[in-house]
Amino acid sequence: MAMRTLLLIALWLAPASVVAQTPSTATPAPAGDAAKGRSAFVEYNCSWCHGTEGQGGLPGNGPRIARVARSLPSFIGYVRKPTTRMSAYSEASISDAVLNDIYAYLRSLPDAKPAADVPLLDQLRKPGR
Amino acid sequence: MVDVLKALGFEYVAANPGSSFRGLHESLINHGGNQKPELLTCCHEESSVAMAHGYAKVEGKPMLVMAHGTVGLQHASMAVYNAFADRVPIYMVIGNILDAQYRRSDVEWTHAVQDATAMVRDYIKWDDTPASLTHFAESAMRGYKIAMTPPHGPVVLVADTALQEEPIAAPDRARLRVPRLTPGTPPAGDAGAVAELAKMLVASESPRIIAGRPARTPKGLELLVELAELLQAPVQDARYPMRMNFPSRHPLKMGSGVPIGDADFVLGLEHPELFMNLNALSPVNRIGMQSRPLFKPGTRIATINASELITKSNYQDIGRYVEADLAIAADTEATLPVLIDACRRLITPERRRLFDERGRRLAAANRQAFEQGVDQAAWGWDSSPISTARLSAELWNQIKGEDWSLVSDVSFISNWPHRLWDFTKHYQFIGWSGAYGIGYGAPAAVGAALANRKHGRLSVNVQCDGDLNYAPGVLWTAAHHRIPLLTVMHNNRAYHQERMFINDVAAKVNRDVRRAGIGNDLTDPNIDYASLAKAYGVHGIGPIESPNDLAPALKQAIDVVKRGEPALVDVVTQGR
Repeated sequence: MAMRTLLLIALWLAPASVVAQTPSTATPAPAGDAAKGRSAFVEYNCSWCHGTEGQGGLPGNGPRIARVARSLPSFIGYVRKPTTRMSAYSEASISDAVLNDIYAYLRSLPDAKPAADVPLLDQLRKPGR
Repeated sequence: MVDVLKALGFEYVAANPGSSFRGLHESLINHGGNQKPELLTCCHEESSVAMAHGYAKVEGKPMLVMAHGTVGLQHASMAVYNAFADRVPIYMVIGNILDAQYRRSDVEWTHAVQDATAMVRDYIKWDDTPASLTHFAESAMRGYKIAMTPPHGPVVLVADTALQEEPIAAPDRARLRVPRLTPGTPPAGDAGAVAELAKMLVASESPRIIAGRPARTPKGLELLVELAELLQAPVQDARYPMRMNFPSRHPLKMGSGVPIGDADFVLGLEHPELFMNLNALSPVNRIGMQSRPLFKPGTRIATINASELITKSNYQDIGRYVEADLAIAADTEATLPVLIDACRRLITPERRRLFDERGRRLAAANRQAFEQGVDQAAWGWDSSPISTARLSAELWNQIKGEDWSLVSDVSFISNWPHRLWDFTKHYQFIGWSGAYGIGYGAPAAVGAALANRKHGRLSVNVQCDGDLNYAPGVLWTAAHHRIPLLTVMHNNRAYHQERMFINDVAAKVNRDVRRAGIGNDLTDPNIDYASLAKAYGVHGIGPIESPNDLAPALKQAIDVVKRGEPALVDVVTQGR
């Protein structure tokens, strides 16, 4: 299989965090409220595709965005003009302030435990399991 | 009529009772002894047909369905369309009172019709309204043959009520006979076309096989593995997996969502929506209408699709037109043996060496994809509502040592079973509804579980909550007929797909996305599925909201199912 196909498979599986980010040059916004962001993440339906903890769903339909690696401006920019199947959300639908809170929430989420530390998952890697 | 139907070897007949087939109903249970077929009492005609749909996908042959004409067939019609789109044989007999002088009441007038199958004719293979018992006998045989000749599909016979009930005069009885059934042979591909296809496959540097419904039977799965291994070609399912086509952990299995990339040859097998694998719809959201190809210039495309033999006009389950270089209108499973031989004769030692190298690269990519899937499952592991990855992993841990069969779809739970479990046998996955008509899931699972019962298999149904609410009475049917089935609710408390659509529309028109739950959410109050199950005689557990409570709940339910009864565990889950 050519390298391009392998690369496509890797990108298809990769979390959003490996996608290139837009560096921020604006004055940093005040840090958002992660607690408010958690509620907003559900209220504005983000969790319906991405999961309540941003863990992601089916590849290509709501990727993992927990611990999002983008900068805040890049995150907001993507929500306004996504490049995938996701709908574009204008300020009328969801304000910058709410997105700031959601961003804070996503950044506050802990990393997942390594699968090796989850017995049910670790055993899947063993032959015959 | 019963003698004729018995000659067709039906194990079961599913029916919600109706006056227009009372004669046949009484004959089946008395003259027929309620054996072969045994009557399954259903609470909705949609359930009757969907049970037959699920049964046929496991058993490889149809279940008999009876329904009242007019209102009964109206109820059943969505399920008939699902089966038609899914290419599954359904054998349906409906009652009707054709002779006006035979109709005794306003009800019988309202439930009578001139052309009883007109309303479903667009999505069945064949129908007939026999005028005599001899006619009925011959049409019964013909209908079975048509239903079971690929592409499979539903057939409907109208049993006139007077024909059912009027006594047979003694002199006429000697003339009645049961004709012999002559099954049709599946149509295999044209020899020249198959030879051409073999050349394309062997010459390809980067082939991709995309499977819709090629594995009609366990033999189909074996043949597809043989072809893939011969060529060291990757096989992926359609975006929404439709059948058990290929072992999930085989080194040549590729995830259903992997883009075409730089494949130089694509072979679509019994795939109704190959266009969606080959093209992207843009602009970027689900409401976009433009398309652009995902394949590189020069990529060649071939298809084998029996559906091209019965293409109809009105309903658009045919999918978007694919500009193929070679389109073989034939049954894939019947064509594969000749194709495999043709490929084998063309493979030189040099091509063999290239194939083996390709296979090694694919195996490495497959392993990497599996590992990444396992890593991804760890995210949201302890969340409540429970992640579908956690649900699937816990369920796998409980069933992996059993002779199990997943009798439900996987796409609503992000394909986690396909990403984590080890599917190897044909009966371990039966796909989805065909026409995406919601309400198929619960009854199809019951029908499939019934087929699995005599083989001692553990049938597992991951049940969408919205789907169950259409006709939950099928739970009673499962309890009454002692059909062992483990139902695990995927209770996201919404018609989730539609919720996302409303969200998309609101975003597109710059309106309040927070109102997307109106008309979609199943909350306030939350439905108590464990109690619902108990009301129908099914062992009910839950609701389970903490992932740590999953294992004991599933184990308790499985113990019930292994005693031969259905059980339901209500699990409150994430959206997907």
